[in-house]
Amino acid sequence: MRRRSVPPREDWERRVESGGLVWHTPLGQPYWNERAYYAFSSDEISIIESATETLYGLFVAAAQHVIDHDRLGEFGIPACAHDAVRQAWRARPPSLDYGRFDLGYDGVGPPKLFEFNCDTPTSLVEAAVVQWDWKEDVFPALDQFNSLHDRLVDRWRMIGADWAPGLVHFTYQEDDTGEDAVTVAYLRDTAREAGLTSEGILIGDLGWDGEHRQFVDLRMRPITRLYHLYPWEWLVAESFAEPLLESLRRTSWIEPIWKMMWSTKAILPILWELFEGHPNLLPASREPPAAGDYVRKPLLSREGANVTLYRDGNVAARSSGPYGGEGSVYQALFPLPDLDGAHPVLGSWVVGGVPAGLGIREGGLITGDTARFAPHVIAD
Amino acid sequence: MKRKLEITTAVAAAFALSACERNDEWVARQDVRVCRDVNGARIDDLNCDRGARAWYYIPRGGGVPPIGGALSGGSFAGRPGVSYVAADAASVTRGGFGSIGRAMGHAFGRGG
Repeated sequence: MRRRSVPPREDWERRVESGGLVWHTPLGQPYWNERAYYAFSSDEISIIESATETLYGLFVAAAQHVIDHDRLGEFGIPACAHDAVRQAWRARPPSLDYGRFDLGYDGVGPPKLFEFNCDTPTSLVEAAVVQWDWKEDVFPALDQFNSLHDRLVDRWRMIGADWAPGLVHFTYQEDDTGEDAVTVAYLRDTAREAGLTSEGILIGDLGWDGEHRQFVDLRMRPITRLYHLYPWEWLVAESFAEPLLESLRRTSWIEPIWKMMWSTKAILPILWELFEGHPNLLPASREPPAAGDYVRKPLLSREGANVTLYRDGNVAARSSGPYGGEGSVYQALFPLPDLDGAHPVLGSWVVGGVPAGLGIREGGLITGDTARFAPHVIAD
Repeated sequence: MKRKLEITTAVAAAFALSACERNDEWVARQDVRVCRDVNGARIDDLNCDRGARAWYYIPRGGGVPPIGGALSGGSFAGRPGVSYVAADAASVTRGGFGSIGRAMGHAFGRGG
């Protein structure tokens, strides 16, 4: 794994915007960074791909363990949702079964899992589309670990095979930068390519028809399939929580409610408990470790918020944010490689539970929402 | 090969404009009117249609309770020049999702 400098394309802003990445410089801070790229060997990509496949299997086993041993109470999941989680895990309703494993990798040892973003994973447009377009412009002869788009289309085609007329609603929260709106628009495009019809609706506009016991859109059409870029832990804590749980009988929520087991960091200590010493895992616990450097992460934090990094018993770095009241996990510190002052975190994607591509974000000691996305190639 | 991303391109183009220039109908909400009884509860619009009770005007983004639910956040007089439409069927409630996201005030981009 090498980080190399490269001149940015002359009109790179227009080019990345044409791929949907309109938040390339939020608040004047660069997010998309094509002044550098990462070059991996085929062997390194195989290692990352294999680790991703392995980690997915560990998550499946861990979720089964949680269900079998009735450990949902450790996840901060409200008790009213436990039955729904158990039933969904057993029934496995339609899902993209997608997500992004955040991995630490130094090109020497095995990739190490930081966390699995599989409920509201983003940096999708830049990973699936924008970095591919960059590669085609700058290194057309090289390859990239990236089958995200095709796998998403295939997955929609598979889960939507029996859907007629095939309407899927997509909901999200309005934001000023367009990140969520464009991410959802991109997913709608993949569904459209799979032959499905889509309709977008803001999360606050979802209506509950108390007479017909179903969610409806702004045109009063029943919602039977709903993709949501809005986390489950918020959905089940808001005033529509009861209708939501009732709706699970008639509405396919994509992703399904069982994803709550994977998307909180409470799964990390369970993984370590079940697979202690696994080469792709870092030691994790619910109590601070007695020795060694470690990171404290709130169970439900996003974008690297409220993370504290401890070295030699002292705080070495800390990020702010609104999380932490729900409890924390402690994970052994993995020293991210320092490549020209950049600290890359690999985002290794799965779609349908299968490895699907790679995105790289460069940040400081803690990878938060000010990290930059850098493209990659495979170059032996 | 360049992807053909019709929806992505359209939404991205809308966000490339400044906020006040946007005209994205499928994310727009409307100002609505509902019928209110003397106790501040929502009642069937028929009561207002025949003049027995007063309309209550709820601005875009406000919550609309079902029949019998308490009304708040609106006013007895609509804003001048604003066109208010009838709210959904009486049995439909909106605004039950999104409160935490609004309170958090951020999107899931650049990580999730």
